[in-house]
Amino acid sequence: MRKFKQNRLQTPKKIKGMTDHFYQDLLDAPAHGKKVAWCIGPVPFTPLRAMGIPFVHLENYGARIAARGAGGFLQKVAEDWGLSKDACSYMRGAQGMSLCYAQDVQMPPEIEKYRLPKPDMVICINYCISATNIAEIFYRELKVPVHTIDWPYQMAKDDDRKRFVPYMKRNIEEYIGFLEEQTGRKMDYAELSALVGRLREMATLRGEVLDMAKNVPSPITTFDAFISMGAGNIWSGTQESIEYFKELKAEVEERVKNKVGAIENEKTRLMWDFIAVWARVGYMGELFASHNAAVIANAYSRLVMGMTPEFLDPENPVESLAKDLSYAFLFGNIKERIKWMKEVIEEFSIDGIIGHSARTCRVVSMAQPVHLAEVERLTGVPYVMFEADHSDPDFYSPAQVDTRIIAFLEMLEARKRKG
Amino acid sequence: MEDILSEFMSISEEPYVWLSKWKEVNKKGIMLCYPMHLPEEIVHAAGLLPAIIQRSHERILLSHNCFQAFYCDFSRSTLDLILRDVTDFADGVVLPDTCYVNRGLAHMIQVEKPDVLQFDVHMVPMLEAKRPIYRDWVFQELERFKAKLEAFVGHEITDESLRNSIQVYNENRALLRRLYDLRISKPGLINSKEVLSIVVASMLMPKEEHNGLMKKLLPELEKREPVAGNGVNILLSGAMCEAVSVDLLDFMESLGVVVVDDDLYVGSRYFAVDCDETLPPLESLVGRYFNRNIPDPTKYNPDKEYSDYLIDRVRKANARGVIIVLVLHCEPHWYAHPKLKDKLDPAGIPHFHIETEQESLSLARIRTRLEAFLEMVKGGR
Repeated sequence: MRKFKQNRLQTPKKIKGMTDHFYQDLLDAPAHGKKVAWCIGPVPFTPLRAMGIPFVHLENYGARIAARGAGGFLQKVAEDWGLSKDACSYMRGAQGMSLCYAQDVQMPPEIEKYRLPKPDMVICINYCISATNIAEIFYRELKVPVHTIDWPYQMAKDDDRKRFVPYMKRNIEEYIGFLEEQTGRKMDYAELSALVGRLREMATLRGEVLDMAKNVPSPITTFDAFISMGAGNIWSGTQESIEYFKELKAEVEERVKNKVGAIENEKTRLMWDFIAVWARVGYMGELFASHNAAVIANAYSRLVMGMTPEFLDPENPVESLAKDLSYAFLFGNIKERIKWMKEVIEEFSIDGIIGHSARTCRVVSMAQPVHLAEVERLTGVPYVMFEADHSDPDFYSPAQVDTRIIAFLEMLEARKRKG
Repeated sequence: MEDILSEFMSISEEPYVWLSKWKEVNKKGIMLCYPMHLPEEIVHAAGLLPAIIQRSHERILLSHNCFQAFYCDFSRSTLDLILRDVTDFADGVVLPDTCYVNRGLAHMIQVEKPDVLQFDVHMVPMLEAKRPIYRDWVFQELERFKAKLEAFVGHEITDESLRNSIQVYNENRALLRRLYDLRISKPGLINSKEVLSIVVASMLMPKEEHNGLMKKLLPELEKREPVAGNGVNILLSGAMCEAVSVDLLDFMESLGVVVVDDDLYVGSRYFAVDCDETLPPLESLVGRYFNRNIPDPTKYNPDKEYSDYLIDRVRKANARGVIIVLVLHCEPHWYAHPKLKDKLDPAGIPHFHIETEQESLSLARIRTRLEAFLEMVKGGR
């Protein structure tokens, strides 16, 4: 039996309380006469906050129920309705929740605490075809107003981004118009500016914290980063999110000063590509730690709200949000993705790449075998791919996945020993 | 008539052999177009031959390394054709943003075969005709695409040439609809493999030539009477981007299915909607895209529900049931599927679902279930 120790950071432990608080407020909102929005995809949340509209980000909800072991019931409700198990597990969970309203499906008590309030409106950003598909289902089944926001995909053309900005600005303006129409109130632009300012501060802090993983040993792992995503996502634009990342930064800085690693006796340093296995974050953290492997870099945890902090200007909040979407490479531009991975490999002294092919998140897993092979060709850093899922634990086969990862880690260790 | 049908058949059986020979003979450019929503008229007006990508009948060899197992067979086949140099005769490929697979394809081609010329067009997936923002964007996208094509061919695409292309395309659509109307009025007049080959040929060959052949073929067909049989009139639905496999069509017909109409992209969906010839040409193409009364699982459409459309179509065709071909790993179709079942049942329309992938199509697995379904429809149960 190998001896290993994970030095768990204390700050991420706060996320559970923060998320519970967020979802409880959301659940209480209708009783306070507030209209509730369900958001599909990375809809900019700052306009919702500025207008005091409680919201849920359904992907965050999907991660939450997966991490708490409650996803299976809701996903099954959607499957019983006829949705394929191979459809996006986030959307299956969300559709399961919507059927609890549309068809009065009863929730068992242990799932009941993860109930969402029925939406008064749905906002969908076109980041994946499953998003627009589920939006239409909500529109018809829940009979609520749906507002769509387009998000053209960067087909890796260099001129795309500039071209998108005015269009995305118009999209954001129409989105604000929709919120005004639904609430009968006007947008408070001073509040929106303040939120964008705080979003920038939070996103900058988040980037600084994640960059500290360049230190050897790394004081923070990607699993800490995954857990911290909620603070930068559903809490984006709030003082709470800033305080969270300040505290995390101070804790990580202390480790850097004292040369304390997140994994004791760190031997190999890895990059994670791309989406988390939400039902297995802790389990995977242990798996890697047990082989003295620190997974320290990934793009996903940086790319939620405030994807490009350098473009966030409180003086121009609408344009800032338009640029944040236009310049993000999360869902596009393979050249940028490969360039980013190459740079990170050098700066973070990466020995290998772990590729998680999420079976039901085809939009982020697309072209993964190609870009990983290309990065290996360019850098000499090897990769391993395994198939699992972001939110459906049934697609995680420990016997297959763990063996494959362990073999890869042993290969990396052997390589290092040989020098 | 048989000559024309056999010409269509040979084109649809070997699309890339035919296109490659066509290019050799005609010395004109060919642009491969990914299904399903690109206004081909712009490519046609540029003096190029727009050819809709077809699923290769050959075994996939090279692209398995690029795709995980959970992506659709059509995208895998498309990349394979490109990597195996089968499509090297083409001058470029146009990838409208139909689904995430096109996006991935754009990337994979850039890395694996960077010399392939690519064009992209972002066709907004939200068909919200009442929101000018989306119409304006698609208009701009078509203008941008047109400018890129102009730079490629080295001459302007005039409004006059666009108008001409729209007319030629509208004529082709009308001729194909005439064929479909004929099939509804005389079930069994022509088998589904032949109909498929006519549509596939229209997707590949110059529309002017196809129009000429259709004008000869239709009067001959109209004179014909179907052989009386004991089959079951069925509407075939599904298969978003790709043609239903000929093996599957033959198999279904061998069990007594008479395809009386379809709701397929390589079928009625391709030619159902015309362009308004009275509008300025680009506006007319935008209008065709947004004002379509044909919902489609790849598009968000708050104005018309896909299942309602399908039920209307079944009733108009007097079909006794629907066979839905679900292409494995076609995610948009999966989302539409539960509602189809929900609505077809109360409408009293029997339906049968086949999940299929051309690489691993197992007809034996379908046989018993399909026979039972046909018996049930015949028995009116």
